[in-house]
Amino acid sequence: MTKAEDTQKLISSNNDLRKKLNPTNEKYYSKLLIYVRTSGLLYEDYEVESSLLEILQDILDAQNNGQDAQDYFGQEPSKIANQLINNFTKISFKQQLKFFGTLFGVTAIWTFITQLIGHEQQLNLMPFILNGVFLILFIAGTFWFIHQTTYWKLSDHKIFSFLFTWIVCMAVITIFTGIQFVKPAFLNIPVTPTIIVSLNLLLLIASLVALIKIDKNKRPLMIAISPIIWVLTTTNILKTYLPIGSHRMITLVTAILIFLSCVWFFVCFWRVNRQQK
Amino acid sequence: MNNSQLLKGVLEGCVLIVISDDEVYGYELVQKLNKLGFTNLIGGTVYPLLQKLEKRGDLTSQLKPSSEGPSRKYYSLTPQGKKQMDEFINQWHSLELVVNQIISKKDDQND
Repeated sequence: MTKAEDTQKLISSNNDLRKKLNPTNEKYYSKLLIYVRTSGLLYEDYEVESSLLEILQDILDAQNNGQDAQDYFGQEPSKIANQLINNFTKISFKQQLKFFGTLFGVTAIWTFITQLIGHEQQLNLMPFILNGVFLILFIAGTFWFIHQTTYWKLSDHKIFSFLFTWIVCMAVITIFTGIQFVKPAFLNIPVTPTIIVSLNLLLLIASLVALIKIDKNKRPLMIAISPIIWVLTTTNILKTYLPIGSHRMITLVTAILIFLSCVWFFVCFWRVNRQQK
Repeated sequence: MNNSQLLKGVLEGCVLIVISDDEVYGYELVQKLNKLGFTNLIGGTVYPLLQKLEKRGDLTSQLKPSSEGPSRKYYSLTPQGKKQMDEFINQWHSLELVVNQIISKKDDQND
């Protein structure tokens, strides 16, 4: 078994065992779990998960002996967690490269497809870089925010919290949209229709191969996003060959198909979530 | 007993001694220490300590199947941990002697 599979096993054991906690202990432990898991992106997953499972098993023992999680583990779980987090091993430089590389790769596919939706016969490198950086900052920022607010509430007022979340969401969407228009001329790469078609075809085939070859536990994610890739790449290919006059029709059909793909995406997630529960 | 620096060092030594008897998992260790007199000791103090000792190479852990649910993490002493333990016991004995002498001298003066 690989280390990734071992980690997956720890996580599913954790999901199963958590159901045995009583409501008070479940609340206490879940907070700890979220706090530790969001402490950083670059810790050894296996070490983090094995530590979390160990604590869960022991809290369950304590519960069976009539002791509350809080009495067993302590009044200040965040302080204890900080000590544990400080001692976790960071992943190696090679693994860090792989991690950031994957994120850049995923955003590159997305950036590539969206840049080719327009009629411009060129790609610009800038959004490729900025989208990658944006995604990393976005994930790190989300983790940081959840981590900070697990034991410390921003405000007890629901309206304030809602307003804050709304402003952050708007800012994120604005920045993300803005990035797509940052295209300095010197980073332009001209592409011919042949290149557009071959790259899109390559992506289409790659997504089909990935669907078959990917790890079993990542397949649901691939099934969820594949239709979006298929629709967009096929549209890009068709647009190159069909006369300009038919483009409006294609765009309309694409829009409907994209909408359906998005619905499919959310249905997939809902199903996976339900299975886990 | 509170969580002072003094106690932390002593607790570390005691953990090594308890584990040298027989391998244990976290909850078991906390219970043993509770029974041995560290009555207010909580799990939260023990996990970072076990993690530190394992990182330092004094302890090693092994997953062992348990009667209910997934395998449990059992800790046992490494040769280096055994050496640490012996050192702690020696230091404790000499420290005990010195501290007791100082205390009895103070008591004599008070009498």
